[in-house]
Amino acid sequence: MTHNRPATSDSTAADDSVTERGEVRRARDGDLAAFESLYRRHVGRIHGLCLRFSGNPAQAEELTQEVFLQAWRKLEGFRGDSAFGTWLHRLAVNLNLQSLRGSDPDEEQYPEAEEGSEAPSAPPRRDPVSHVDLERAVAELPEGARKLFLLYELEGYTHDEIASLTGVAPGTSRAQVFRARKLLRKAMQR
Amino acid sequence: MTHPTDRVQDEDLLYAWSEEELSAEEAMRLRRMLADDPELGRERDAIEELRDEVRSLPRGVEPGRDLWPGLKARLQDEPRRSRSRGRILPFRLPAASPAVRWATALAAVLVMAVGLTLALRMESPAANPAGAALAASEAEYLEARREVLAQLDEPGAWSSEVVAVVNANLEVVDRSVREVEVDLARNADDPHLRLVLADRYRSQAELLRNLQRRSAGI
Repeated sequence: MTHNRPATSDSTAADDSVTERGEVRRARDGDLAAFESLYRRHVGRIHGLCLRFSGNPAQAEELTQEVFLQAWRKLEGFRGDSAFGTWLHRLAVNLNLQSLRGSDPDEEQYPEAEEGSEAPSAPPRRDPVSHVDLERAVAELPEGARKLFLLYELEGYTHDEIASLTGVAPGTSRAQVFRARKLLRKAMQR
Repeated sequence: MTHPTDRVQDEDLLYAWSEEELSAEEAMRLRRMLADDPELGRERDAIEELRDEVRSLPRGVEPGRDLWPGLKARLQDEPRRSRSRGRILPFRLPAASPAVRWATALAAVLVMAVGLTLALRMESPAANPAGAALAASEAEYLEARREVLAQLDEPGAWSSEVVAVVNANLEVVDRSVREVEVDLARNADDPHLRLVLADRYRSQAELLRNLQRRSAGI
């Protein structure tokens, strides 16, 4: 299934693309002003991703900075085969996945689905569903399910792509997204 | 009346439907159930609605503060990119003058220190928070570093080979300290990490001062 593709920049116009290519080239040569321009264009998208993955504003800020720091270091290796935003997004996903892996090695990330008690608690549902409530309910999903759910539903990766990114089987990804959706539904019903 | 177990199975079928993963047989069964059970139909609509809501969440969320000044400071601390596409100064040097051998030995010591830092993070001895010690060590390190960098900028003070090794060492030190700092940001209450970072700063400051003292004889 293809839905929101993980393309990452809102600026898809040709002019913007040309401008961005020039900025990437200058940033690669050490031009901080050019890199700042790239940062300003993409920081919202990257921070949004980090915030949803980490569920923690302070950590999201740190991760966002780390993504751009890594991007600066790795610009040398960016060949321009894809858009800079796509490359940066992939970098951010990898960094966030690494961060989650290191966050709590004892946590069982992919437990068998046991419904009921683990449903994230969320404020009573208002109609229509507010983004704030929904964001909170997503943030309270179990980490393993949340990670795969975000990659699939929000970032637009397929289960096969998620499998190659995270090392889990496509069936596990499918099951966890399924589980997350059920948990969210329960949480939003409260 | 629908049995509770049947209800769960029906819902599972709905979620499988939302994943577009129903077999033809299951799809037909679901259609029959939806026709017979208005409540299940409402559940289907709710699932659809939730899915649409999730996908309509804004992708971009601006940080609560401007992160660029902090990021810029960190970028400026990065090794300077050369004109030839930002190549980092190499660790291995072909020359074998006494100065280069000494500087290379210093590089090895620093790499060991970094390795020790990373290894220590895996242990968990009881330790007290050491914020003051950390601040003092950091100040000492930064001062020593500033002095060494000032000497490096003096024309002809050191050979270009030594300058290259020192720069490479400083890069390793920076990376090591940054890694521990990132861990600290995530585990702000971990006293052990604070002590490790303070210890690293102290060691690096000492090494840099030794380098300054020896520079007269190089």
